[in-house]
Amino acid sequence: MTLDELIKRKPYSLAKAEKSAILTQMLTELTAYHYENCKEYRNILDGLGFDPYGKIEHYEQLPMIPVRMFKEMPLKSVSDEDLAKSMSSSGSSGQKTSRLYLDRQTAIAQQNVGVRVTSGFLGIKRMPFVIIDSPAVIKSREAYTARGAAALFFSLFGSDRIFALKDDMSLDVEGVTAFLEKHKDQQILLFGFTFMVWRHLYCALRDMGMKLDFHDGILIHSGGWKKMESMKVSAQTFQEKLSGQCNINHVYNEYGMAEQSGTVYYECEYGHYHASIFSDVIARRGADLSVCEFGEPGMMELVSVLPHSYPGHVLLSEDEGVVCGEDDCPCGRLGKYFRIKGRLKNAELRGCSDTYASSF
Amino acid sequence: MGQIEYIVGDKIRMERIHDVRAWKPFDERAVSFCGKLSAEILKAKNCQSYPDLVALAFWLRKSNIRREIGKYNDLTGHLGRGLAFHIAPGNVALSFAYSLATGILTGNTNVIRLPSRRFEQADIFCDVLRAALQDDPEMAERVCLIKYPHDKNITDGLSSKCHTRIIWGGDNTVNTIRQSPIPPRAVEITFANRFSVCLINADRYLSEYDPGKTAHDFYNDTYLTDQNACSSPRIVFWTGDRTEEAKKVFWDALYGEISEYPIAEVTTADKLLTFCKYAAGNKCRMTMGRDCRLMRVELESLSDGVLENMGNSGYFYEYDISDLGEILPVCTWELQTISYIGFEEDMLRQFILSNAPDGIDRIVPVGHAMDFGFIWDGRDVVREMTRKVSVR
Repeated sequence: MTLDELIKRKPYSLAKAEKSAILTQMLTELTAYHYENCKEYRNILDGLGFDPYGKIEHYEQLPMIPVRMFKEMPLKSVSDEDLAKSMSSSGSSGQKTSRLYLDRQTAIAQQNVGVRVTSGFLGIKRMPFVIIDSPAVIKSREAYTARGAAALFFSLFGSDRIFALKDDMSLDVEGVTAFLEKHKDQQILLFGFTFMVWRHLYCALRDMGMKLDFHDGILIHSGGWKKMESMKVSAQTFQEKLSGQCNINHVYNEYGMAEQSGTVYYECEYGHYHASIFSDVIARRGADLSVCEFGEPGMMELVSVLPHSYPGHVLLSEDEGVVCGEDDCPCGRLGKYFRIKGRLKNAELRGCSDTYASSF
Repeated sequence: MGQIEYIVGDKIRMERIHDVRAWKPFDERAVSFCGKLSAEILKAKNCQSYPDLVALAFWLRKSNIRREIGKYNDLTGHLGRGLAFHIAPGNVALSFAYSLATGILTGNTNVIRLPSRRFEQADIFCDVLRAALQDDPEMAERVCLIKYPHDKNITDGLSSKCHTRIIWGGDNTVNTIRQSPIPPRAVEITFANRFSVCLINADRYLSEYDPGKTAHDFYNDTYLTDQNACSSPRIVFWTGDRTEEAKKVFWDALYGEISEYPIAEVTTADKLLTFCKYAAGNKCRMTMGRDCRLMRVELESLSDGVLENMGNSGYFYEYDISDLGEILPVCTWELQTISYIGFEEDMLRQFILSNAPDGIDRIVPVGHAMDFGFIWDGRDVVREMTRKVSVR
């Protein structure tokens, strides 16, 4: 099966046996492709003693690349002439960021699959679009960040769009009010990072004693709950407050990695993220990397059929998660469904290293 | 200095410590005090649950201290320098206790900054120390153990009055603390980032060593401190005719020690990352033990990539050599300890003295990489913490 054929299928329509056969075939082909085209990847596979041309029964057997590798060195499987653009992940301040190299084919595939998955999950059509961020995030199109990429990606669903924040991250009340007035009969789509939506939209409005009506709006937010939990804001509170303050009544949490843009995971009404036919998740045990049972927390491996210009199709993430089951979520979507518990907990190693300075 | 928390001692003692006179090194009062600490540690509840605490108690025994003193036959005319300010490493539970003992035994007065992280064995030691000082007012005025959060002002203040500053814990710590000046005549002893290696003669290992006992020794040098101490070997060099056979026996036997070694998910991810970073640019072959607790990476050549990608928590580079000279590329300034199996120490010493590499400050049999001594990192701490009064 090729990606062009797969993209015609509905994104949550393949049951386990068929999906696993298709993913095994496509990911095995990608492994051989990257082996032939990325010297560093080939060296790693040789070092592992992995034969990319040997018989692969299941994509669970394919070697994982730790996602942090993309922060450590440039990895690409296309010649420099074929590179269309590069993208960096939005690391927190002081951390190294990933740099990903995209050719046209990969960039288009990310976009097309992203649209298929998003519209398949949310059932949305083009509608006025509000980005809870400042226009600065999309300043350079050649070298943009994951935050900018997400904003641009969701703009595909927008008939008209506006950045809700000014460059100093304050809410552009006048601009947004005018935008809502202009589209007063239409449902509004919003996108933003969880913490930014909370602080720069909800908290800003609350502090001004002001409400905005997003016309029964749909919010897609990503970036996880870690910061929110530290402020004791639950998912339920988040939804209730946005509903009350902004008339945003449909809230979807999104999970994904910049290294696998396009194959995003949305949370269904039962609180589960869902893997589409283009990607999958595998929870693994830390002691021996064996595959966890459903319900057993582990380190999350993410696979995606999209990465072509860099060897990011089989990645070991730094997140801990639980695969809850496959094909039988009460929401009816096929494929694996899972929860993310957060970043892997740091180990406090013994030994004479440098914790003094870092704890400063 | 409002943020200082006094673990042993108090503000008044801290203020008066500058007026306390130095002693001669290895003053009988200091040796006896260490002996008393040793006995009291062994009596403490829970002591036996901490092998590092037991090891400390044994090191502090009078007989052991006397043996160490025996190595110094010319300390006539020596005196402690005065006030020693020790900065203990953040993640080794009891290093501060060795640093303190060295400070006491060399006749200095001591202010020690403890790591912010709590260790139960450190708490036990501090309780024992506090009680012992209560019975020994003369010693009590020579010791202050403190904690404080990052505050350059406090470090500045403590540094400005010390005669010796001892910084444990690696390059970043040393560089951070060095932002605070010490008096022009003060001496600084720094323990920066180091790494270590192990040399194994396969033939002698197979014929002369008990695999189980050797595995235990090797475990103590490595996994006991998450293979993250400066003296823990990160590279294992093999010589001899039967290296393949010896590797099988050696690593198999190690599982008797490590099958319960707790390994966090993030540690596995880190080890895998270290391997990928190395392998991306260097030919090698990784073999996993029975699980991720042991990752062995056999090298095809010794390149700088090895030095830049050191792993821990059970991540070993391995390299077969036919001649000792082949290890010279890694004998950099950072190489601290060679632990060995099946070698003559004289031969190893001769090898170092004749090749004079930048690194290698210690040669110890396997199982002794963690042993503390007054000569550490190539420095004779007793001589550095004392001054000699010359008379002609």
